[in-house]
Amino acid sequence: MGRPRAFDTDQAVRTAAVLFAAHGYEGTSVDDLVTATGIHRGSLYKVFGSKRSLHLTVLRTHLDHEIHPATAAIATLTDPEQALSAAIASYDNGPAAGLLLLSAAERAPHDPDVAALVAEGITALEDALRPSHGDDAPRLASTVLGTRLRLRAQPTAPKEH
Amino acid sequence: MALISIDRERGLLTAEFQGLDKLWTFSSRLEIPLAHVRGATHDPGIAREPKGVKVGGTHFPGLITAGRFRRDGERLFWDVKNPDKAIVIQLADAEHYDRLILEVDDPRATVRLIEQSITRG
Repeated sequence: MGRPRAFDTDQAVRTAAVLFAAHGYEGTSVDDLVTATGIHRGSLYKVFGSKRSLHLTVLRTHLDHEIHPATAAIATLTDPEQALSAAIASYDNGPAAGLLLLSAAERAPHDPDVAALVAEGITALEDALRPSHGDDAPRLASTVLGTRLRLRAQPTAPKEH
Repeated sequence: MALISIDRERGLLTAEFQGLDKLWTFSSRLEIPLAHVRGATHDPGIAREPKGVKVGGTHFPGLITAGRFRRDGERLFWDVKNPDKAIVIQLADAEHYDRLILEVDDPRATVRLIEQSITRG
C-alpha cells in the first residue's frame, strides 16, 4: 500500500546520523529528520517504523562503517604511542563523529538495544589496543573515550570533517 | 485523548477512547496485536501535515482531528486535539490502518511502554 519508495535509504541513514550526532536523540525531532532527509513523514515511518528504530539503524551503520574499520586499523599498530594517538584521532569519528559517545550517555541507560551496540563499540576499541598495550588495553580505551569527550567539549575545536 | 494499554498475555495493544472522543472518532477502542506494532514515536509536528481525505470521523482544523483518514493511499486513524501530546504508532502491512496518530496523557512514558513491549517480543 502507498507509493513506492522513492528515496535512498542509505542516504537517509547517513543524514540522520549527522543530526543525531550533532543534537542527540531527544534533540532531533521527526520534523528535523523530515526536513534534512527530504523524505515524506509517512515514508519515514513506513521504512523505519519509529524514531527509535531509525536511531538503532543509524548506530548499527556507524559501528559497521566507522568504528569497526577504525579499530581494525588501530589493531595493526604495535607501537603503544602510535596506537594511542591513532585511536584518539580516529575512534568514533567520521561525518557522525561522537555518535557512539552521545548514545552511551543519553540512550544506553534507558535502552538495552543501544547499550548492547555501545558495548560492542567499546569492546572493539579495547581489542584494538591489545596488540600495543596488552592487559592495559581497557584502561587505555577509557583514556581514548575520555579524551574524545574532552575534545568534543571544546566549542571552538575545529571539526575534522 | 487515548488510553493506551498493553496486555502481554494476549499480546495486544489497546487504545481506548473516552467521553466525547468516542463520538469524534466513531470508535470506543482499537485492538492491535503487538506483533503488528512496528514502533511508536512522539511527534508533535505531524499535526501540521495535511490530513488527507476524511473517511469517517471529525476534522475541525486547529481544534480536533479524529477518526479515519486516507492520504497517499495510506489509511490513518487520528485522535488529536493537542499536537504536543501526539504519538505515532506505525503498524505492519497486515493491519487495516497504516498508522495511528493519537494524543496521550504522557507521550514519553507511552512511547517507552510500547517500544519496550515490542522489543521483548
